[in-house]
Amino acid sequence: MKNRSGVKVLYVEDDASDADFARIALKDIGCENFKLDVIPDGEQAINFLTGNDGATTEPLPDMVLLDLNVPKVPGKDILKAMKSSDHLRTIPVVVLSTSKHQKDIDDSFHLGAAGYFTKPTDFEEYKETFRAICDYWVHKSQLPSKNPTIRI
Amino acid sequence: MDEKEVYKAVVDSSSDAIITKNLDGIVTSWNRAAERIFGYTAAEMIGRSITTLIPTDHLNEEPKIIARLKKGEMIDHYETIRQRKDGTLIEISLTVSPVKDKNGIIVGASKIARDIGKQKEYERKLIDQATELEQFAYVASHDLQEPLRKIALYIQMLESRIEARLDSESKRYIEKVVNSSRRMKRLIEDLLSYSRANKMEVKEEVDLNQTVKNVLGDLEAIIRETGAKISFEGLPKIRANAFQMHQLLQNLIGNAIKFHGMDSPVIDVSAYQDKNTWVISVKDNGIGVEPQYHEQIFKVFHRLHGQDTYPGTGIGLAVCKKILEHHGGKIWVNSSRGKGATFRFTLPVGNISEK
Repeated sequence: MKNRSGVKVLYVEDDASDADFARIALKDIGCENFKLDVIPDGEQAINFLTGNDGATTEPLPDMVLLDLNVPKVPGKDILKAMKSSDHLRTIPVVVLSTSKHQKDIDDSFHLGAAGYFTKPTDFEEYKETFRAICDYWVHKSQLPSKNPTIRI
Repeated sequence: MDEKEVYKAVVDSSSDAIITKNLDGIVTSWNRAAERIFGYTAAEMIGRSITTLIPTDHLNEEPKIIARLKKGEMIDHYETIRQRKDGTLIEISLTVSPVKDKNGIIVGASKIARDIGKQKEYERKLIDQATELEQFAYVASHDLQEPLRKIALYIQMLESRIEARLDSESKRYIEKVVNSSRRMKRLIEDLLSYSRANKMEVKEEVDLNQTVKNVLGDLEAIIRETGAKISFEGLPKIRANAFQMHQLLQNLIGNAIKFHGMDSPVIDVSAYQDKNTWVISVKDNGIGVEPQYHEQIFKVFHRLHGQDTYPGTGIGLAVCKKILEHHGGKIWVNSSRGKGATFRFTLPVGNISEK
């Protein structure tokens, strides 16, 4: 079982303020041990995940937070690419978007997102969202599918 | 002037083209307006086929017109395209009626053609402007939301960090910023729903009894707070957009609760059928609306009360009106000051089987 500390999270987000909110929310709820890497565009995110950026020594993230509206490669395409790749498929992806449109929500889940959150306007809600993401992660990490001996 | 001369004068002075033709489509008369609109003189056209005026991609219209004439039918204000002598195309509205001889046998047709180019151009301009305005409202609302969300979040974060060190006056300022940004968020959301009101599909079967139940669930907090009593009965099933019906009833019931007087709100939602129309009423015992405001309250941003007494954005009833227009219905109010208000709206009876 994975410990709450030392979880590596990749946040694909071009908006510096949102990256800021995420860091502060994580700190405020005591999830500081989430190691948050922020990548500001879709192309860089793909390169990072596929190891095409030359930084192949960097281990893969335990989880990806994804904004749908990011430059160069849209969030949904990143999700699609991850779910069709053998070594990225098992990384849980949680979408964090301003969009409340049912289509974006449905599309994300169809493409394999593990969760969908609308970016809150209220800071308390922001913290709640991140608390839910943290809890989800702990919960998810206990699932047998994470155990390499029970591969499907 | 004898009768025939009078008719000729009327035909010649008409601003619409008046043409007659036989059942082979050969032109038999051609007035001055026809000369002006199509560019051919009477001498050029009489004896020639009417198809001279029809652009090749519209040629299939003529046999259909002739077939209908032979059955004695009239073609009323049919909008189509015709070609002038110089080759340019014009938009016209056609009214074609069969002409019978003294034995009642159809021998030809009279044709009135109106040049509707200017009218069409004007309509297109209006549609363009309306579309542009809607797009503007939509984009503006979306783009306004993001910076606002950040203002709200940063000020809340700032407050939570320095709260202990703030004097009461500074706390009040922060509270003002938080409240103002909340209010602006609501304004933008309402504006957004107003600009979207005529874009939604109307095709689901909606049971308004269920809609009211859902609305009462959403309004639970304010119902408990005000002690409101809300009854509803016998509401119809209609073909509508479910989301918008929810929005409509939430606005009306929400208003009925909000604008209460000294007594707790008592609200009744009822319906009756009048021929092909459902008339649905939301009746309250609140402060009422003075008759001189009965029209104005349905306009965007029109409010009758200060923010302090009854908060709101002034968009709710405008959204209701637009939703109903989109559904082919109407909304109005019967009320006087201090005597409660009854908001009524109509919706077409859909082809939905009653259970």
